[in-house]
Amino acid sequence: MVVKLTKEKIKAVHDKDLDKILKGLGILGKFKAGKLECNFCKSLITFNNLHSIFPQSGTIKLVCDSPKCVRKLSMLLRNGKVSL
Amino acid sequence: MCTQAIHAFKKWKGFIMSVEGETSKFAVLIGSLISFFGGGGIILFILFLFPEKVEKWSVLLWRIIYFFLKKGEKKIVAHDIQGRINEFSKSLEKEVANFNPVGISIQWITEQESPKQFFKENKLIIRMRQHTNQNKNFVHAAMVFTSKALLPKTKKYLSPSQRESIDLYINRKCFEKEKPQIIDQFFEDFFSPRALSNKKIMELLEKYEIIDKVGLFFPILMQELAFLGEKVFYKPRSEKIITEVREFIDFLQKYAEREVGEESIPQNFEGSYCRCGIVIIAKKYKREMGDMRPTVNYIKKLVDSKLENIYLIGSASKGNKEFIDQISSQIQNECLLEKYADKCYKAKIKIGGERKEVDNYCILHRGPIITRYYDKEYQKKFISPQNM
Repeated sequence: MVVKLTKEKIKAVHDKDLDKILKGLGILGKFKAGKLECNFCKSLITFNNLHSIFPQSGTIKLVCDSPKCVRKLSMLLRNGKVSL
Repeated sequence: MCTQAIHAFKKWKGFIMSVEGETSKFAVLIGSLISFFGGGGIILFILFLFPEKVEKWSVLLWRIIYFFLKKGEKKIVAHDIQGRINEFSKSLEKEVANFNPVGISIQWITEQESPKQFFKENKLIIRMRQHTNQNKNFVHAAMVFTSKALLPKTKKYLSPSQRESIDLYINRKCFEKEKPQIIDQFFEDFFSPRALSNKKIMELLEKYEIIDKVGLFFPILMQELAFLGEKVFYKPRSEKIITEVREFIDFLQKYAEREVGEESIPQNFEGSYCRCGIVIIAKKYKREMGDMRPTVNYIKKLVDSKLENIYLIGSASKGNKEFIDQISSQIQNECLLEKYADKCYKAKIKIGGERKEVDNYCILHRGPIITRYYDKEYQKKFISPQNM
């Protein structure tokens, strides 16, 4: 029997659209000026280390791609505190 | 030309009709597709049956297009991730009988999104790099996906270390199967640091490894966890469930470490939420005499003591497999058990202190009455006592 997979949608932004998306969210200026921090480790978010963006308590949170922070984000996803 | 084709088709049809069972149906389908649609029919058939494989292979095509035209960058990134994760997810369905496979679908955001819309949707946006950095994209997407989509009902009731260790182990399995070239990086960045920094996670990962050696990580451990998610409703996470899952993992670990022939190791797990028995079918003299009565009577006792799931396990050698099938038919009749799933798998069993790889066979049976657990308030409000 052929089973059709239920699909979990994951929103993604490709590098080539990143500026546009950050501009829409009103954080492109801060991003380019190096004024955004990782929600978990507080290190500077740059083009090289940006992993993801999520909303929380009315603010835009950014996550860097360090394994520790990716793990912390996974924990929030598992606990249902961040949605896909 | 036309007559020749009809003749060839008749010969082909005659040939395939001589084959019995599923193979015959499959061959008839292929034959019909060839006759009606030609080669295109085969392609349609493959697309229908193996969409994940097709998606994986389509990446190659997109890479060629990208090489010449510099187009299709996002197609490469998305199809590569989707094809691999979806194929892995579907493979879990073969391992775990009541597993509802969930796939991944990358939704590109290409247009500006206002902060209002972003907060309204309240969803994570993951950043994807150029396809030249696809390994990183794949690891990030797979980890996010597993956290959210793997056994979501069950994970609600597990402890943080149980949840995280399962995700890490499944991710490892996924990378080993789908992208073996990134497994070292995954170990270095995620698996080892987490195992080394958290004793509970380390211990659990070691136990999964041992259980997996005898081939029971998916067919029994994941299977029972999937059942657990279907049995417990609207209950808050409780220490009782966490303890029971811990004890169940320990039970399977001890079972996995047993020497062949060792009978002192418990083979039944009688918890409140998880109640199962493993029945090993291996005694040569019983098989040769066709004496299934002692085993059937033993299983009857297990069912009477309200064990819900009975796993018959033994060598997949021809004679033993047939004997297991006979016992299975007998207990379905006598104990009203339902044959839920069966599979052949590789197991590294312990003989004289050494592990030896063998082919094993397992049939899972479920009892007629499965107890379900509800939150007391939910039970009062929505379920009449006679239904419980």
